[in-house]
Amino acid sequence: MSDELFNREEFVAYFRDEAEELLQQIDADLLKLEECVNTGQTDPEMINSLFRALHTIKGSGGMLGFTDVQGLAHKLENLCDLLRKDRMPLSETVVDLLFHGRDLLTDYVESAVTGAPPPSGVAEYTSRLDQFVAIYEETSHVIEGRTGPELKFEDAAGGAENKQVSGAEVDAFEAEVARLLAEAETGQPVAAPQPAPEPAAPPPAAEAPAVEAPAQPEGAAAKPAAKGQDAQKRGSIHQTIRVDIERLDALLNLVGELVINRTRISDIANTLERLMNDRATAGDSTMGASHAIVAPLAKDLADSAALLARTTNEIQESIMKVRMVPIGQVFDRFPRLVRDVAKARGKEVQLLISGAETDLDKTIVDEVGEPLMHLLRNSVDHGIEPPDVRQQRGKGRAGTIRLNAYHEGNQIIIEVTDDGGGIDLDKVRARGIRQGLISSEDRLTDRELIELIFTPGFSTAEVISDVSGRGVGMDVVKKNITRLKGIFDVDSVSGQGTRFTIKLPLTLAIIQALLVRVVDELYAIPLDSVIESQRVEMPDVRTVHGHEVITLRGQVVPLVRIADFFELGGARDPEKVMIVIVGLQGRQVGLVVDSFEGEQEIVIKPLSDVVGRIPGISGATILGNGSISLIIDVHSLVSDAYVSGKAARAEFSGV
Amino acid sequence: MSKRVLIVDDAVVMRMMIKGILSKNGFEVVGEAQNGVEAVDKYKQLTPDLVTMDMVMPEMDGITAVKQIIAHDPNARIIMCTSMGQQALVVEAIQAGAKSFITKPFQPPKILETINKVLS
Repeated sequence: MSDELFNREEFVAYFRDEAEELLQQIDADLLKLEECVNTGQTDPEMINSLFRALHTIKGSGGMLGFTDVQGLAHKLENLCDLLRKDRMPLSETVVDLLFHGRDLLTDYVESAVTGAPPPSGVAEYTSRLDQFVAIYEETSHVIEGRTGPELKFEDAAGGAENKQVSGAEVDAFEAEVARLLAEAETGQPVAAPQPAPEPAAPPPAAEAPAVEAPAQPEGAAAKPAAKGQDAQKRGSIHQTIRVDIERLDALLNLVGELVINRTRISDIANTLERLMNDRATAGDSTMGASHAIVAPLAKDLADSAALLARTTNEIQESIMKVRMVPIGQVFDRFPRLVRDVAKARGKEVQLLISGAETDLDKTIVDEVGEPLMHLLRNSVDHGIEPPDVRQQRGKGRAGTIRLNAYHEGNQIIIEVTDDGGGIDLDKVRARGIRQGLISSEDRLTDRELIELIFTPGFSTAEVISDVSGRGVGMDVVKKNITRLKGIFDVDSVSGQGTRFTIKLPLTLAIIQALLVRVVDELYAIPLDSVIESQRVEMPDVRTVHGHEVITLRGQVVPLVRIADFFELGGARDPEKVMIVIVGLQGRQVGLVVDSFEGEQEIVIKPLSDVVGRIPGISGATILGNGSISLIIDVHSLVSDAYVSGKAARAEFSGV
Repeated sequence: MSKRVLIVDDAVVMRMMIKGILSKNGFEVVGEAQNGVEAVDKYKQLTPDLVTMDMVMPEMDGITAVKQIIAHDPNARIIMCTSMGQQALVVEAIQAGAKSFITKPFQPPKILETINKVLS
């Protein structure tokens, strides 16, 4: 292949995307195939689909010179071919071999694309595979081959040990086709309207006598696939294009600037209008003729600003939609994961997925996979009981895990629910005491006990398994979700199961915020965590153990003075406080500010690495007038207030 | 006028590659299809001068697509894209009316040679 004919890098990127998609599909097909082993019913289309996916990976890998990928894909394709031609019975061994091979293939693709080291254990695997296949190949020939001579081309094309397909081999193959065509022409009349033309390679002397007409159709190979899920899965190509996410990010950034400018222009228009009105009512004598000129201009500006605002909103919405992808992209790999973990732990688990079509921002989709994977592992490992235990408890032997996603307002909710034993609170308490997280005298609510599992290093697993309970705990899941501005929650009913709920914003880039003034600074508080804002008279603020609290509808709410938190100084109003009540997972905190400055849509700009992480600040935004406003990190403020105010609150509630 | 080509392959890498080779050599790629059903539809819609047709595809395989296209237009010029080891299928495709075939992995000069031969 001459390299100037195509941009290799671009092709490798396409290859990677395509291979990942296909490997995912192979996984799904294998899971179905495994079902078939149990039920004894095989759907030929499933094996065909498997075969095609492997075939495509082989072909594309071969084009790019990834011989390892090509070789292994070929061996697996070969195995599938034996299956689909009924030359090999479907068994657990075959499915396991295919699963294993699929994983090695995934590693090979990764290695080919990124230059990572190739997977280990391939030699053992291929020798096991070859031995297994050899038993069945004795009586048959590999892909499409039926008579002796063809076998050698097959071997030449495929085996991982053959590093490159040489031109001579291609020539030999083409010569073979020519020979077969010649045979066909002499052996039987050609029915097609056009006679078979001269093939590309010159036909060699046909030394082998024509034994049979070679062109009868092989049923399974050429069987048209039934219109199935494939059709829905792969959209029509003229309707979709692949776009590099970086381009979309750049576009989104520009839209962000546009939003800022739109707000600024609206501000100017408003200011101008106000000035004109003020002067008009004040009867300013200097206005005269200039008013007549400026007034229509001011009106034009206002109209134009309104139009700009509308268009900008539409652009912003469109670009957000473009970035939305179905969360199913992440879900796809979970059936396999659950299967593997369940198998390793000797459990029977059924995974039910719904809402895979729910859209959210691509960036979030990419980030949410890891935490979800951990939750599912956790549910299989700790949630679902072993089959015998389940039976004793009067449940079915197989546990059920539901993975569900849906939209709710501007958020996406993802739930992982299992019907296992629930979180054992006694065990959590015991472990918490042993790890020194709580003392035996602590009066903790069930909710607070459950929250203990989010403490770093906490694990109730009796035995540290290789699946979960090995360091990466719920605290990491929670941290990841929090980083995505999401909320992570757990409900558990002993004996009935556990539900993990993740709430995520649909997008991370643009949010509604409440602007507040503290001393001379403007701060933005994300509106989705604001419950209400109000003015409270000082006598209603009580001090318990040095912490200010108010009672709001019977609930004790600790106060955080923003001015103190950020050490801004400034004088306190002795008569009243302005409070923004923010809430997270049922915990509320009142943020004390100087004044409320209204709601605004803001574009989040992350703080640069130079500034580093500042406690209580999650980012910054540029306001319409060009000034910078810091965005308050409600999560960290609420947690802080609760850690320091816990004792006070407990005592206060007890009164 | 440059010759109009329809590329049929379920692998995006293959489509891109063939497209690259052809467009750099004066052909106009008028359409792409990723399975046999689309191929037949697009053939009717675009009436290209030439089709490159993959063998193994979902929905409808290449040979069935060749048969349907030939039934619609007996003069259709279709070149099969085949992997080594598929000789029986190549023969079947050519008997069904495909004009020639090229073998993966492609050698660009060979593709062009085959195509020019079929078009002449």
